[in-house]
Amino acid sequence: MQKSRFYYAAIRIFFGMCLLFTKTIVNADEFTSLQKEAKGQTVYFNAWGGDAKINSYIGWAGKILSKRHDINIVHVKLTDTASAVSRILAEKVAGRSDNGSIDLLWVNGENFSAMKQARLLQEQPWVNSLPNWRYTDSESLPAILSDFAEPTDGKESPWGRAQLVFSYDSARLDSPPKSVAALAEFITKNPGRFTFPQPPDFIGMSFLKQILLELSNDNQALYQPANDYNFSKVTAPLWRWLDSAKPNLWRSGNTYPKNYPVLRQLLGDGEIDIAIAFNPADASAAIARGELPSSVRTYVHDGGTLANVHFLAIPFNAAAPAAAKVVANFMLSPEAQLKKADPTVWGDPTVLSMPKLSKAQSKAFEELPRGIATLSDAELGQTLAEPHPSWVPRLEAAWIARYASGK
Amino acid sequence: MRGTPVENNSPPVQKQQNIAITSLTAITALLFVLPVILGLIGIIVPASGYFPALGKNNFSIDAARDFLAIPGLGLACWLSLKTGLLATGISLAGSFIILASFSGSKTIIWLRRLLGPLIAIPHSTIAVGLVFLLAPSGWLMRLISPTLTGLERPPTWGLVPDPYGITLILGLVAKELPFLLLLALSALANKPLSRQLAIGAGLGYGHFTSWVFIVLPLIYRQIRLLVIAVLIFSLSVVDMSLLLAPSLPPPLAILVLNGFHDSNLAARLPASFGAIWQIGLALVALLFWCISEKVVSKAVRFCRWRGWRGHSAELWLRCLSLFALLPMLIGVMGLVAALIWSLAKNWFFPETFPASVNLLHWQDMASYLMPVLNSGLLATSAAFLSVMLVFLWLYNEQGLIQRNTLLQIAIFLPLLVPQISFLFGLQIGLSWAGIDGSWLALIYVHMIFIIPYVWLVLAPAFMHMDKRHEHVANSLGLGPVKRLFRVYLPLLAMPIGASLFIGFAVSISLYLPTVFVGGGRITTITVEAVSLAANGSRGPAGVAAILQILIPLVCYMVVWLFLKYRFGKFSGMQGGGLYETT
Repeated sequence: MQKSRFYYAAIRIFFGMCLLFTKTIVNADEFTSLQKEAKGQTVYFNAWGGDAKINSYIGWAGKILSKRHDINIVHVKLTDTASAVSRILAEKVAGRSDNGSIDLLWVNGENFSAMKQARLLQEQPWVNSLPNWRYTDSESLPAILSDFAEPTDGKESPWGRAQLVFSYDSARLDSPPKSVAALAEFITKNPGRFTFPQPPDFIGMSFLKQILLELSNDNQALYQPANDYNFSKVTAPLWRWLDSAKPNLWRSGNTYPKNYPVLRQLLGDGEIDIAIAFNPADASAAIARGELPSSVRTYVHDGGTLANVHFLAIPFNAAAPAAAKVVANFMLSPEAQLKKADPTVWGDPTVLSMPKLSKAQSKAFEELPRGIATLSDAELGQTLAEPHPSWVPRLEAAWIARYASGK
Repeated sequence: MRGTPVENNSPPVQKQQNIAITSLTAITALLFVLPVILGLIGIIVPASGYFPALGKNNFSIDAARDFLAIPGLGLACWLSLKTGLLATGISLAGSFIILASFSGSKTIIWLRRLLGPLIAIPHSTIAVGLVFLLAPSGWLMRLISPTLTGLERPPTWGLVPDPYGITLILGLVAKELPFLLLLALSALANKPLSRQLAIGAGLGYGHFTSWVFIVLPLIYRQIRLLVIAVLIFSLSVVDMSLLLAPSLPPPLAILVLNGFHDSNLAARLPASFGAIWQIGLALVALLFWCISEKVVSKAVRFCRWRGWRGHSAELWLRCLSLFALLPMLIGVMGLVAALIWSLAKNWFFPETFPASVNLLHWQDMASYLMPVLNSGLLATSAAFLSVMLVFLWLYNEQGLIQRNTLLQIAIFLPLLVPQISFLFGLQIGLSWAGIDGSWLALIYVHMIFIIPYVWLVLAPAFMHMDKRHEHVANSLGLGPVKRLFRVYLPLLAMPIGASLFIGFAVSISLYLPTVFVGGGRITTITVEAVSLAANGSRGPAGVAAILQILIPLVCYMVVWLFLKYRFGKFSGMQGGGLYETT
């Protein structure tokens, strides 16, 4: 299977290289005319708006784009990205094939896959023609070409990286449990002090995938489309684990926090002992804002944790596709990526490849302060790749069928 | 044509004009029912399995089957039914108890002053406050820990979120009780109260019993439609449920909303069926409510027949009335907690107050500016247009809508159909017309929710206006335009001001319609506040909550001061309306 993953990656890299080669020549001209077209346009950027620091980062980008390119960014703060997908769908139903209400969408995984299937994305691939695409390297970071094993086909531009990390209060807990087995033991010994965001929340689902990946010992079936035959067999260890944990979860597993900021707040309140985030710098930033005690630290599981890339996509009926591309290009620039990686701003790891940057640029990335609770790259250790997206809706449905009836 | 002595002898030309005006009024009234009907069609079609965009070109029962297979559906429905009925019942009972025990006293005048600003507090703000107050690590717990409880850490049990829906009921009561109290007070304004009570006392009934036997049935009959609107709203509330309701399973409305927002696009079909199911649930609740009405009225009649004078109950009810004030108190206290959170830094359990205070979250004000401006602009324009429209309906043909039950129901329809049941369909309709996410659409949709309330304030004021003023103006030769400006506007200034304010407050608190129709393009402070609070950002949510109540309060002050100084001298000439200056 290792072989077939390599094979997949190789094909994509080849495909990408070909595109890159043919495109770079015409790129510069094409993009200048795009910038001209984008002048004065408004980009409705639909992005999850649940985190103040992300919102202010988008605000920062908006100011620069309006100054340099005369593009007006309106951040439409979503509570749930799927609601934006729903809106685009509603527009498609209504036959609105241009002048749609969303120009740029922060998306990945399941939502991207859903949009791709319902043909809600820009028909033509556009990402490889962005001038700043040259700073990325799909060889060292293949995930920028495959979103949860779903080929991006040049229809979404990488924005940032994420890795699942756990945080705990070192003043209360000496050694956190660094594997699913240890976590299970911890939950039994500390009833009511562990929980996770309620699936289908993105982080909640990621936690389920993390457990499943760890329990199933790198089962390669998870990287293939799920089917009715293998689903229950492959996921059986996960349900066993959850069933035995449930009675000792926070509120006996009868209710769950809505999402990871709420989970983080519960850690800050001392209601729970361990929180989960998909951003290694999240805890440090929360300490700086006074939302978590300064004794909070982070850790990852010994076997590695889930990692993925998040993207920007343009809907098929975007009203200002040209400006949206200019925005996506800016978001991919070393300048914007550096700002985003700054833990005092957002702390979202970059998708750019250091060897492809200038000396000064890569030095700036190196010199970024690490927050008090942020692990070093070495400590973050190995990452686990996302399972095929077809597992997510099935896992979601199975979790809901098992635990959502309130019994 | 109104009340003029020459009504029957009016020349045929004028008659034709009147018919034109009448039909124009009816048509504009119907224009505001249209969105509900369109929205319902837009729900019924996908609910019956037809959705070409997803390749479903045939009608089928799949949507219904899939919806009914949702785990926990029964519990979700039970939760909705329970919260809706209990919240409405408690609010109504509480408002009546307060009214009965405090009427005629100074407290009621004081309460009435307080109620205006209080009903302007949006649902979501109350919910945010309750979370701050009642969570296991909330302010109440911090106030008594560790001194009383011995807890260094918050307990592992708690009311937010609670599986029984108690917090949700409490939140709804904190919001609806003042509303119903205000409605009851204004219904009372036109009743010969002291005479009725004197009769009651003369027959040997206690103060309280005379209220229950004589006055309350009259008031209830007058506000019944609105009580039903409260019932249906409570049953299908979304913004409060997002913050206060249990999540496994959530109330039905949230279950349906999740379906509409599911990344699996096919989930919209069962969700559409769920939206219709929600109407069914509303009907069940309504049936239950009507049966309860019958039972209560039988019981009252029985007590009356037995000659029960109820002196023994006086004391008990007086105690109860203090309890009835409790939800309002909790609501206000939650707001104080919100204010503290907006300033807090490093506030960890079990400290009673934050370790340090800073303006970090308030410095971020610029990011709230847009939603605040949007809220203000939207509320002002929607309220003004609604008041203008209703005023013109009443001025031109005031009897028409009052005489026609169908038109009356039409005006109240948006309040009588659960919002979740028609907004998705409406969104598709507006998108089809190419105007979703536009100011035009948003103001229009806000207006359909405002108009019933404006109607509620203005129509009785028109009805009870002393027509002799107009006759005098007529005989002095004033034309219709002059009459409007010289007689109607000054005399009705108070109710007009009140209706403007109510329209404004309703618009500010609208959550679901803004989300669906505004399409995220036009976001208001209420949408922002719910999203921030749902995402656990307490500091920013505190700021948003405070801003959210500041806007209507500023509006209240402006309207009140303007009326007092400009039209205050007319207030003695005109009774009625929700905001008399008594």
